[in-house]
Amino acid sequence: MKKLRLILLLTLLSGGSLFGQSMTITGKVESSEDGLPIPGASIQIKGTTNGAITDLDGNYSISVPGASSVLIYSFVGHATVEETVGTRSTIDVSLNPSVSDLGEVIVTGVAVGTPTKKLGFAIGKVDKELLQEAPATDPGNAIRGKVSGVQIVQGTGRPGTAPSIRLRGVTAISGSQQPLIIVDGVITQGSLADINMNDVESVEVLKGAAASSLYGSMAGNGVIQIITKRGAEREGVTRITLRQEIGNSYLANQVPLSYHHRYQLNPDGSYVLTNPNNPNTRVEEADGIMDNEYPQIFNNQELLFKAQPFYTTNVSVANTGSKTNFFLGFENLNQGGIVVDMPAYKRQSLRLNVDHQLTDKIKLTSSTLYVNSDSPNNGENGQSGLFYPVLAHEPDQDLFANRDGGVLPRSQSNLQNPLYEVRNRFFRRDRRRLLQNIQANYKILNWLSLEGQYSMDREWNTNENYTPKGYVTQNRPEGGLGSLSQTWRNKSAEVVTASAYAQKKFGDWNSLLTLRYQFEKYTDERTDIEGSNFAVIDIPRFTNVDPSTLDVTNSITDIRAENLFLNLGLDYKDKYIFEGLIRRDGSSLFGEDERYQLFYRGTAAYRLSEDIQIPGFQELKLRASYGTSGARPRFEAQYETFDLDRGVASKDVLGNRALKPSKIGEFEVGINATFFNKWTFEFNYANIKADDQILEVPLSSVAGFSSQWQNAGTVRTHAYEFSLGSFLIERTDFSWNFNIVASNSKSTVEYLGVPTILRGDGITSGMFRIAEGEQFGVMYGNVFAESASDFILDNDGFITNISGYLPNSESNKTPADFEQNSDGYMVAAGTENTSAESATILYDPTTGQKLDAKIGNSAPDLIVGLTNTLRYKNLSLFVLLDAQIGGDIYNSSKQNLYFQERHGDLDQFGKPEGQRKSVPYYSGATSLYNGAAPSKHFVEKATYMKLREIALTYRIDESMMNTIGIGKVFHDAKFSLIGRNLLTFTDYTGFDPEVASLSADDPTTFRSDSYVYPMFRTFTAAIELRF
Amino acid sequence: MKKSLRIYLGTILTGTMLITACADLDVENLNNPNTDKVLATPDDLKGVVGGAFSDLYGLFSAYRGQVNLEHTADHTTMTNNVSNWWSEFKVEPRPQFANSLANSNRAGIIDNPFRLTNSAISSAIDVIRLIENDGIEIGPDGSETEMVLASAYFAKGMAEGYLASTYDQGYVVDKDTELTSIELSPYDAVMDMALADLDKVIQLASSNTFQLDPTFINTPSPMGSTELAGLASTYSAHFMMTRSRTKAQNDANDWEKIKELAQGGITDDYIIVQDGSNWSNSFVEISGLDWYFRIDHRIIRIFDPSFPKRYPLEATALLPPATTDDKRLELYFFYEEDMSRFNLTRGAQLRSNYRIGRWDEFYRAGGIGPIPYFFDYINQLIIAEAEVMTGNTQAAIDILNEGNRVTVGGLEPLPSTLSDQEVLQTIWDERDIEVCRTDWAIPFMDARRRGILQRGVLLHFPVPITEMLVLGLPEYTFGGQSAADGVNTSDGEGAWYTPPGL
Repeated sequence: MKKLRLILLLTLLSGGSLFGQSMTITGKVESSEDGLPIPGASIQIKGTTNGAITDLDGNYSISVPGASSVLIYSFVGHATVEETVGTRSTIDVSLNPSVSDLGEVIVTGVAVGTPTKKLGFAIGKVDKELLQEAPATDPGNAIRGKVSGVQIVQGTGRPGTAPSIRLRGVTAISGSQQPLIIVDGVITQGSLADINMNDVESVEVLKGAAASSLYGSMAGNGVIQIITKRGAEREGVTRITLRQEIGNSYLANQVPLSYHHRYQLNPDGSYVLTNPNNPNTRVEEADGIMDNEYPQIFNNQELLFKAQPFYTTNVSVANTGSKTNFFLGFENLNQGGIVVDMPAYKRQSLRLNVDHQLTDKIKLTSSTLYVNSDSPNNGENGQSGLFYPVLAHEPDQDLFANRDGGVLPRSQSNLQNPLYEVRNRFFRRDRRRLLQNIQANYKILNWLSLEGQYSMDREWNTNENYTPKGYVTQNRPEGGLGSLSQTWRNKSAEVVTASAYAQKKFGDWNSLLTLRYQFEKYTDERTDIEGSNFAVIDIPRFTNVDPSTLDVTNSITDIRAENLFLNLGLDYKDKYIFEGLIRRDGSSLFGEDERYQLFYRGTAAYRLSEDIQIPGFQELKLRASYGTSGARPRFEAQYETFDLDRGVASKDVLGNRALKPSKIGEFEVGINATFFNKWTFEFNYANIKADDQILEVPLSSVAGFSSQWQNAGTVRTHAYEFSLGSFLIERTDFSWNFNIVASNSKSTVEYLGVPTILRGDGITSGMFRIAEGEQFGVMYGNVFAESASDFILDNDGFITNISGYLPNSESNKTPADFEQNSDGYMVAAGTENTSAESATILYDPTTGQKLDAKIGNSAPDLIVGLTNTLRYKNLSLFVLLDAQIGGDIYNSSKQNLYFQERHGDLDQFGKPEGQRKSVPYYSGATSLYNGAAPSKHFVEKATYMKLREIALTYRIDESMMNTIGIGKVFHDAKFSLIGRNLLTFTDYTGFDPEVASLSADDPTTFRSDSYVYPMFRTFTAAIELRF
Repeated sequence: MKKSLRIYLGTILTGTMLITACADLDVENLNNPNTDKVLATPDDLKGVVGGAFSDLYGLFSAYRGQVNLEHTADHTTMTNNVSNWWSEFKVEPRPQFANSLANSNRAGIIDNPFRLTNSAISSAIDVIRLIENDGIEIGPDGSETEMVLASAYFAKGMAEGYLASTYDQGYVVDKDTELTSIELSPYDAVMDMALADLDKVIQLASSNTFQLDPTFINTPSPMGSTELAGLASTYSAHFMMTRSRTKAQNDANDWEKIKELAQGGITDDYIIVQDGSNWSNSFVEISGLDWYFRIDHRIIRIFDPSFPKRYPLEATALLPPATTDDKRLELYFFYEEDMSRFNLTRGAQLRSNYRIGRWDEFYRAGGIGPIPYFFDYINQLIIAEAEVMTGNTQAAIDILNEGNRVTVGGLEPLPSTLSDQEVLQTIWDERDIEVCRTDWAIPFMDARRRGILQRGVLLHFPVPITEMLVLGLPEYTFGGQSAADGVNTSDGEGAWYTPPGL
């Protein structure tokens, strides 16, 4: 089976039956490349408009007038063949494929499988060649750098977390940017981290609303479909594959920390203490400069971040037969991460795909995936968890010696010992997932098929956080009383679809009409229990907690939707292509007065190269489309709700009967070209208007209800995408192909019907502003004077925009009172490198408060990916580079480390005497630290280039085995050395420039760094045997 | 051809007709009730009143407003600057308060108390309307109606009292107010409404006998109507007193009325039991940490007037313990040697060796247990102050001599020869010592009406910018040296301490 199950093609009884003396010719059309049948190939009687199309198995039947008839066999991506009928009644034809991927068929975004050449909108497709070289652990990472218009941000390196994906622009101010994920036709709602990439055949990405109109209000953010293998690569073969990959993961970069301090030392190097028995009574030196040696030094980052193993085992059995094919695959993944003593992320999955042709007319398809995963989840983000103390502890604290309890001799704020915490607090995140799709196709007539499909995504989650009784902290050295919390959460997404397809050829016009009905049901049931203060040690059960601390909550959400659509595609001779789609969605999530909504799409494409021979161009297609899709409100948004806690009700959100889904309307134009037989090129421009944004509008406090969800905003995006690829060199012994993708998108809030919305967390809460006229990702904060031109003077020459200015006051300052210091900041003249040195915060003279200025924007200027495959004989090298150019990150960990006096910037030891700066310059509330309010000093450029994947593979095939003399033990084998996330070139000073805030709603837009699990690099070796 | 075309079109039409199904897309939200459900049966009104109390006492877990007011009154200090804990309210000289979106700390300090008090008022008024306007009765034969009504008025009056003593504007709401078109009113009008509501509580609780529903206020045993009347009376006196923004207003207050109300007030400490989940008081709980909160030198100087106003700024400086005869210095506050966290660069005003030790046991129990919100002794001190202000200084001296000064502190009883001013000073000192970590920002309210705040301290919070944006009004703010007009911002005329350079 060369192509996928959704292709239904028909034989058309042509008008040939009306002519007299006719013969029926039957036969099969195959591809010469792999011997597999080609469904949908066209057979036309030369000189007439009569023709037929091959069915799923490549068979055709056509009536010809006579023996002199000539039949023209053609299929996109293959060379056309002509055959004279002569005396034959059966003509089998083998077509030679031409260039690479243009003959592919896309199944996402279209009702029926359509060749890419005939698509009127842009689509990104990643084939197994690009996916298999250095298999990623999840689909998000797998498509990175391979499809234009995709921004992937792995905000945290914690194993078991899928990255955040944003396609094209920002389509939701409030709510998820995550696209709809479909796996083998199953509409999923769970995490991408569960999907194992080893069995994936291809990934299709629909980037915009025009493409995803097919999915209506489910897919305002775009769609990603993952298609897994369904059989062996050719018929009659049972293929067994064994793959084992094993290696280690390492921390890539350390955060620069200070290894000197500013406390007074005795001549023997020990601290001066005002109370010799109390190590907390160190005395600061008057100069406040951190340049004194510690009595002993440990590198805490090296103690916590140690190489952990990574391995994955894959076994699969696949067979393609005449009526049945199946694929059975098993995976066992173990990713240790980089934190010592932290349990590994483990995942096992079992996949079974079966297709069976029951009768000539009926085909059955089943896809099943079962995944079981266990993830670690020590706290991260902000002050809780491991990643804040490991950086904030002074380097002379012996964390290792105290890793099994015992308080550190010198206490420091509320810092715990992360080595102790990771060994003594227990977190469990267990998940089981079942994806099932079952489908039946019934070809009632040659041109009419019916299809029924049922898909299900079920998830069972068990989470637990356990802190044992006796857990020691700096504040409770005698041990605390412990706590336990558990969450059980079961989710299910079920979709039933009934479709009818009619495919008919009217002369030179091909037509495809689809009518489809879909019913969706989602449920989410959740129970949370918390309790604390255990009576007995080491019994993590709720029977052991203090009953007055028990808190039990549960909730059930139930969502239903019903959709109907009609889709008509017409094309003239495969070159003038038109398509129209109209869809009506009804969802229980929409307000009562807005239950049903309409979505639609119109596309037109013109394959210029069919009409005009352009020298060098094999294919040139111009296309344009306009379509709408939407995003649904969350479950509780339309209802009037009271918060209910232990029976006590307090007003929460005011209901809204008129709440609609947001409407994303996209106009997209693009060009696809193939030239010089080796090059492919694509360019897209999309103008997206995301209207009726669903926003929580604050109401006046006394109205009782604090907010209401309303449709009250519009976001406009302009997106540009570009991709260029080439099979530059293709010789027997040596080949080189590469593909570059690049994209840029800018989203602006065109209209906002609510007051400015603030996003961010901790230090950055309020830093990201969503306001009318502002670009998405813009950051606001305070700024410092960097030159005399930053000062605004009054008529007397006094500076008005600094703190302390009063008209006619004697203490007013002039620019002559300031000078620029070595960091480029204006400081009071004569104070540089003294303990009085302080950066000068700019104020707003009209309000007398600190100036609220734009300090950065996290939107990148360009996202680029480059894949390169070089092959020499049996050795191949695959390299993936990806880069982000432009965009800012707010390094709030650095700001907090300034406050803790731990950041490397404060370490003055390396500077010559006399050029050392004192701590208050860095950590003073009125200097760079800015009292934990956002400050321009901590905005850093996110520009980076990463060597993301590199794989060196050596393939042993049958002929080599014979040469070696071992005979045909296996079909072929591959040995690979693989590196992931190997090198990062960046100026960013944190762990990794791909970091993002975990709690600010949308990690792809709100980029701030706040003590999360660092990204890491992995080196592995793999061996794959195929029998 | 025609036949197949007909079949083709026929399929489309039949298909369209058949497939217009009617799935039921009406789904109920069974996780959170709406107004209809919450008020479905009369008994449910109790749940709404419970919600009002939950919001009201939520002030003490969302405690940043209280902490910062007590900082700026130089009662408490601390050194945690992670989120600007002291930067705005303990910097010397005092700066303007940033009532702006850019100020990431603003929400915790002024937004939350504004929202919580208004939410309590809103829930209470819903119940009051249903009972008074619609005649709903609660309980068997309507026997609980009076209790629920009195409780609703109490929650409303308390919320309005806290609001009006903290903010310069608020909403005046009664059972007939149209909530959708309401506008802000000055704090005086809100306070008048608070006192009227508490007066209603006194009337209802005096003329009926009932016990408060245990879910309303988590007192050690259910509160009876007599206790409720007393509580309302005490708080009326308290709010009348703390209403004053300046010394002039304080001196011109209706002290007769205050005395009368306090004399009809509580006779026992007002205690609420914290259970670690629904009832929690983070301010008191965190005070148990030995390195976090300290007591300002202004309070130490009450015990030992020779104690310096501010800590010396030398790194090695370590002040010896204060000397005093008052045993409460050692009972309530502990001397700690560890000054390592009090960075010199943050200013001398943060530094203190004395931590608040009175609530250690509560802290060690994980924030679970009974704590007092209003001491009976403080009620006595209200009476005492009112006596002095109405010319009966001797009565005040008698009250002082029966109180904690003597019984706990072990000090000598006061002689009758003291002047009015000296007695007043003693009363104020007693309040400063004893109210530590009890009801909402009492130390600030006292310092405000005594006129001893530093120059530039705001006298009340402005309405939060987020609320102003919802109302479509421009934001405004108080505090800072240039705004020190004595009306909304202290002008420092009677300041207890003037920082150098001012």
